[in-house]
Amino acid sequence: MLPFAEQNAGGEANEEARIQAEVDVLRFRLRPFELVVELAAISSVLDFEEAQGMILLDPAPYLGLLPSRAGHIGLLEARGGPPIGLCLGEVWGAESWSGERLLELPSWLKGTLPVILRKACGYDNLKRIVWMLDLDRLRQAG
Amino acid sequence: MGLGELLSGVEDASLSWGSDEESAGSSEARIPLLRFRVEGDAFAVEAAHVREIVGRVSLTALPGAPAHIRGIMVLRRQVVGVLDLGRFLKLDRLDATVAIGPSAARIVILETALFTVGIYVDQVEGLDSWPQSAVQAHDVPESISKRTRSFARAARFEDESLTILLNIEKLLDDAAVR
Repeated sequence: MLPFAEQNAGGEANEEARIQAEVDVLRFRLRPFELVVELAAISSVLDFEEAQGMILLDPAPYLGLLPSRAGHIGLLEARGGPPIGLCLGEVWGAESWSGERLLELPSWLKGTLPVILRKACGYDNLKRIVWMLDLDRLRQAG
Repeated sequence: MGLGELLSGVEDASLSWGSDEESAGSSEARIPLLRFRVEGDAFAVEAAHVREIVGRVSLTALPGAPAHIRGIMVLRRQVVGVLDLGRFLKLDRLDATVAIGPSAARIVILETALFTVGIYVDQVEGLDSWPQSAVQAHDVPESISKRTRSFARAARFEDESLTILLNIEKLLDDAAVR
């Protein structure tokens, strides 16, 4: 879970700490959407073919996309049981994100977001919006 | 070029506050408006709700959003949702690139007590002002679609063209997805 996401600020000190806090994320592109997932949740990245027979969690259908049939698979850190992979589409690499890069979504739009996304977003140097995957919600939904 | 010269350029252009002749000889209070076109139809909103007008910006599609939400953008570290008014009002779609040209498209950032929202418009026509009586009359012809009428505060014929003043609070409230 991204520790600084969706946090309700409780005073200036908390806000300052939130802005300065950093978390490592894995950035990936699932067709039109750019997303990140917490890097600590992923133990390695495989090709689609290498994940044959693995249980796959696929965010694509929850984003209004057709199910993934190719691309990279993130092997999730084991919680016991069979190995589980996360469909990542095209992996762009690891980044370090500070709270400064996180933006609150307008309240009138929060209701539109799929349940597997956090109700906030990040943005990069080119002002491209990057969505944050809520892995726990995806596990529950899957 | 100094700021004064820059402003005089703007004042000379279409973004002027009506003509002197228009305001002269009438003591009736006037309500300032911003006029724009969407899919060929002329609309206006109260200028008091207009925060700014932005040109070319990159919009990001919102996963799972209804068709009337064109996307979101980051404007000075604020995420602003952009509404596709044509789709929301179910207007007949024109080929805007032929009718007006894509470079004329703008996003009008509107603010109400509850929302800050961008509205994608094909062309900003400029600032205008209507007499208060014209706004209060709620005289909206029945020839326009029922859906558009439900968000209209008033309408006015000028130069054989009908301009609809939108009830922006109602429109944004209905367009919100909570």
